[in-house]
Amino acid sequence: MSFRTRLLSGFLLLALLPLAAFAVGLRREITQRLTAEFDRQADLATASMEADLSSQSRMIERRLIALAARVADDDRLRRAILVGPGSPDRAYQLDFASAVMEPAGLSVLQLQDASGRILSSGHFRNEFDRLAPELPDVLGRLTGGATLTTIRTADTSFVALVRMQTLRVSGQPLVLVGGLRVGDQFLASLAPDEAVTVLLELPGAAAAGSDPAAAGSAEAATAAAVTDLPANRVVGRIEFPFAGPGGAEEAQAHFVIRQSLAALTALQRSLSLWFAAGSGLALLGAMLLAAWVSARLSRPLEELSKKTSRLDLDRLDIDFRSSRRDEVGDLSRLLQAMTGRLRASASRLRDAERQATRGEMARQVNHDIKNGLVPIRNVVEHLTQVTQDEPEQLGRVFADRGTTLISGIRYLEDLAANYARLAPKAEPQRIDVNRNIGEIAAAGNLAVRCEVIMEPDLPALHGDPVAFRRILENLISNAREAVGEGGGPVRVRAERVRQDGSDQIRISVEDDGPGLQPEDRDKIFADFFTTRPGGTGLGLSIVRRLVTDMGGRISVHSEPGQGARFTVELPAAEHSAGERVDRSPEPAK
Amino acid sequence: MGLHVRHTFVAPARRARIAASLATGLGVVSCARPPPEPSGWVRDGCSVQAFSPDLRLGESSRAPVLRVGLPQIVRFRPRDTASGEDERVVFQHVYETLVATDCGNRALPGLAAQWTPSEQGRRWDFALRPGASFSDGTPVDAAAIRASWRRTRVAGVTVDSVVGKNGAGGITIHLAAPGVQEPRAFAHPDLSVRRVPRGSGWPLGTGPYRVASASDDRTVSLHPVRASTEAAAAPRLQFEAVTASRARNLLDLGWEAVLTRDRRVTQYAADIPRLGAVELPWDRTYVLVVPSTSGFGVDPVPAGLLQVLARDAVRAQARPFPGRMELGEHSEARCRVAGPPTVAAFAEAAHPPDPPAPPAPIRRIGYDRDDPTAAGLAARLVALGGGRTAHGEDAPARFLAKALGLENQPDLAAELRALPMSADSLRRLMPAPLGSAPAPPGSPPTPQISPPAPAHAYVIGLPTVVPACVRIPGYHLFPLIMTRLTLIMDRRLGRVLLGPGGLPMFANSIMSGS
Repeated sequence: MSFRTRLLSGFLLLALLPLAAFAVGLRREITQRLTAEFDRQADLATASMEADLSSQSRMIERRLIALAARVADDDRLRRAILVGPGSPDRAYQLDFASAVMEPAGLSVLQLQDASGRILSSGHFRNEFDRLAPELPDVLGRLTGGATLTTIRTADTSFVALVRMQTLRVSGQPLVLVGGLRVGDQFLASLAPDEAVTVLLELPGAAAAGSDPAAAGSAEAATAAAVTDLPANRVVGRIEFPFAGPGGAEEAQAHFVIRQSLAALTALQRSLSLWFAAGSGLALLGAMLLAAWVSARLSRPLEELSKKTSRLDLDRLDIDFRSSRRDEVGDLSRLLQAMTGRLRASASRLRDAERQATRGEMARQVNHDIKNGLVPIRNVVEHLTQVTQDEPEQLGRVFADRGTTLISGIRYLEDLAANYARLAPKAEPQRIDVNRNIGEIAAAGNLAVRCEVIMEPDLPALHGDPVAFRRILENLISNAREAVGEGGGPVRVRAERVRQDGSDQIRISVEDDGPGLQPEDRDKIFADFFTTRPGGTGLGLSIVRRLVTDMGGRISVHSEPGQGARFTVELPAAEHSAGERVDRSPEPAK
Repeated sequence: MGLHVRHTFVAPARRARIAASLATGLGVVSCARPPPEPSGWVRDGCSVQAFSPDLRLGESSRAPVLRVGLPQIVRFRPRDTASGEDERVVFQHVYETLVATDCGNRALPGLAAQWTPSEQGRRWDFALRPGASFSDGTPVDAAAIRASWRRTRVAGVTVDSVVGKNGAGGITIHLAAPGVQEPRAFAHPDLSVRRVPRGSGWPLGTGPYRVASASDDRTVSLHPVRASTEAAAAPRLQFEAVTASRARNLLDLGWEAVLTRDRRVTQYAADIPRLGAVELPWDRTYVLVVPSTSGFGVDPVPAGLLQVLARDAVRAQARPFPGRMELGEHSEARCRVAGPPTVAAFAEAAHPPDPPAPPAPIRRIGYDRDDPTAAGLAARLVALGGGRTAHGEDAPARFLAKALGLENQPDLAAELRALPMSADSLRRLMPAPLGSAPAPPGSPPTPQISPPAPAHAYVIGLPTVVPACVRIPGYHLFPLIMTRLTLIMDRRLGRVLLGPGGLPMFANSIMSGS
């Protein structure tokens, strides 16, 4: 697990645990309070319903009292009742209840005489003359004066809340029975709000089953539908007198108050949803914060890691300086100091290496000179011997051995020239890269065809122009020897690259020669390592030193049979006014 | 050789003119003993004449539009036949039959001016009225009559062929045996000549009027056919089927005439000086149709029940059905036109030989929800059928309990309900002859019936003569009450002719100048 991942996980845990505890606790508290409020509303609904039923009963009573007064004042009705079926006002009598029922706000109204004979019915006009004394009898016995009963019409039946009012017309006792239909609308009016559903349970399932219409089929269906809902609960039952059809079968009906928990459930669902949304947002915020913090903490370490990964004996110029005052700053400064020590050690190592090299070189010079002097000495001793023994043959022998002598001398001259190159005198100045490359490529003394690609306006280098020319000449010469006589071309490319915040001049010399074996690639820049017979093994070694002295580095990319590309990267010179720029290169020595 | 009867009538230019002349010269059966008319109106034969000192016919003019309110039950739909006699008040202005009848059910020239029967009533040669054409001017010929009758089935009149004769306007109709003996058989409304236009719309007729517009099934306007020589003077007719309350509104709004069965409308009109009322013949009988499987015996309908129904249960002008014997010779004569004797048919219907299924109690009494009279009757039967004794008389309840199969079943009796139905639903459920267009007076009975499922009883209104003529295997018909229309007219509407069945024809009504 990475440092950043650990940081991220830690931040998340830190943010989520308290948030989850807060959300659960708050939700539980709110749910309890909502449930308590719903319970209180249910109690209020039951009390309100009882009051409403009582109010409806009183309202029916008032309307019946008013209708009784109207009956007593209606002369046509009075005549019709007194005369009986033969009265010319018979139709008026039969239509009387129909005419006044709805204007009086009632849905049940019938006028009956003392025997229970229906004189006029508003809800069932053609029920006249039917004997129905049971309902007035029941109503007369009731204490509260109101009852529920099943009212029959021509084409249906319904449950109604009815009362009775007695009156006298010309000394004849009459009864007005009136009431309101207890249908969906009535039950809905009893409910104080939409969350409360009021149902009517008639006594005995048999009654409802035997006559669904009489039991109020709509209400029964509603009851069944509501009962099926799991989110409903019975919160109250109000008992009310019930008289069966025609007033028989006195029993008790019940108004069942059901409270829908849908609103509560919806509220809780909404609450949970909002908590979930809030938690999600908090989680997202925590993740973003944790990511930002962990990135802020780990980014300096990553930068240090990147710089450290570039650190090499040839690249000890990595800048670890930091102004931070924390552990990362301390670590940077430690790395900066370590880099400094490494540079010093590398310098000492190079010095030791130079000394060793000089010793090695001395031995090599000694060896080489001895090797060069041995044939010369042999020729000289031979010539001396001939001079002493056969003077007349001296000319012939000299002619024969002179070539050997000259060859040895040339060998020594070459040896001297090469050793002279091992100690160039540095003379730092600004170097025009393109110009120098162009001149070297155009000179033709390297005996190879060069293809040169140079980025225009390359910045200048700062260093010894001679060393720079030697670097190029050696690399091109090395490539020429790789491709052989008539081979080529050698591709030279110069370009500017940006590395570590500074401009670099990258020069590559590429050939199509046999390439390098993998095991040779690591030793190609070592002193005296050569893959060619007769080679000194010093050319590329000198090039590496010259490049390093100029603050650059050299690398090789090569595969067997696919040629080789030597890449030199040199730091570009910072421009400063008045500085001398080398524009007239010295010839290579 | 069989009986050969030749009837020859010379047709005037317009049937109304003939009707007017007949009204003064001919005695009629149903119109011969009219009930007392309100003051200011006299019914003279087949016309109703205003009797007003202010009316001078010589100075009368005609109203440009004659507006007539009709009973609520009326429906106007573009179909082949009118479903009720009240609708024929409208359609008799538009569609004609070969032979017409007057209010006394006597044959008159209609689309045909002359006719001659032969081959014992199996061949009838008609001479069409000169210039007989549809309202769009298309001449009437044998092919048009044949096409018009293509889907028509009238019991007792089985048409084999309709062919043209030599000479203009001559057609010959061949009937299947036994043929018909009286030309009135061709006055059946289902044999009216009409031409169905392409697409939808009202069929074209040959009468003096055409259907100009019908905004819905409650309102229809008739315009005079322009080819008519009297078209320029004939009023346009506007009919609207209305409830009793709207009928009173229309009278207040000055409509010229209202046809109603509701006593309240008549009573209301009696208080309006400009209006007069004429009671038309008893034209409709309401019957209780009960499946014989309900367990009905042979008990007659108690007279007390009929009295109560007619007096109290309905708001129509009603009287108790007098019983089949009181139909007398008149009804039997009608039913003999092309079928078995009326009384025999009714008796056979009342005594089905083998009930097709065990008795099943009736729990619903269906009725046309647009017919207030049927609704009142059904409601009263439900009230009485509830098994309770009314006013000390239990005969009606006993009769109904027995008729509906509810004897000794008080629970089922308490469940008896009226069932309001649409006219179309009722027509589909009812046996064929009752579900189809009722036959007018003089039409032959229809003996063939397919029995329906004996689930409900029904209260329906039929033309008065039908209950005495119809035979329905598996069903009993109990005639309950008879009703009639009352024509309430503006007194300036000087004269209205009465057509078949005593229904008024407004085509040639005269409106006095105001």
